[in-house]
Amino acid sequence: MAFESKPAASRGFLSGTSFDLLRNRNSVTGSLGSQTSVPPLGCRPLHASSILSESAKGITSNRPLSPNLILKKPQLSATYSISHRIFGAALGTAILITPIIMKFSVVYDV
Amino acid sequence: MADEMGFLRRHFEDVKEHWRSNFSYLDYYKKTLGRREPLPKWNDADVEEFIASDPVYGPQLKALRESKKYGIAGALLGAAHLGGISWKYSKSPHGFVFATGFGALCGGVFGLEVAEHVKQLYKFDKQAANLRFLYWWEDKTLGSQQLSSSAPRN
Repeated sequence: MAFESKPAASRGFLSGTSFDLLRNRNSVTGSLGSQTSVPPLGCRPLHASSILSESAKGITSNRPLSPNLILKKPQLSATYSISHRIFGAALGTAILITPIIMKFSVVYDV
Repeated sequence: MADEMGFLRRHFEDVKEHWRSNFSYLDYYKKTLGRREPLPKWNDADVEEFIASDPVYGPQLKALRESKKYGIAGALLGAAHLGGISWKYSKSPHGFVFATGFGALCGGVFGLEVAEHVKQLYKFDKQAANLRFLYWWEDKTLGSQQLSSSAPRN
């Protein structure tokens, strides 16, 4: 199955090419055997993982993704929002984990 | 006297003892973490010696130490379970890491809850059992020094 969806951990991080596509290619006609079937919902591959020529492959896989934060000027509101979320997550973690640490410390101290 | 204090102050005086007893469990941390100089290191043999010597708090500390295994086993089980599910279904590598950690945390808490019932830890004061050992260890190791210098206990 060309569009077999594997978990990212076993697929490898940021793999731009899919070798399963090459494996299913019919060597006589040159057409893809399973390309005609509709992929299951939620398993549609990214545009970078479809078949491309070898020269185009490096360009597309290295292309910057849509919200390119490096190119944007840091806005005050965006910085506030990001730091607000970071501190909120940290504060929530600290509050939730305090009684758990107390519970563990009584058992694992001595 | 009560008229001089005012409403807020009088209210505070009324509830002060109540809240002091509610937060008395924090004294444990004052006695364990808040020491001016740390206690000398102890090992398992020292704890075993205390367990053998103390007829009341020895079995309590023994049950508390045996319940460590339940927490570790639960953590391993939880990490394997939630980590395995995320390994199978997650699309993101960091999701697998987070799920494994969260599974270990939840499994550890659940394992200690099992130990609480199996070892009947709810029947005694766990902090007191630890503190009894710490006091015994303090008297054993620093006893002679304390008599000479008469340093405060905490």
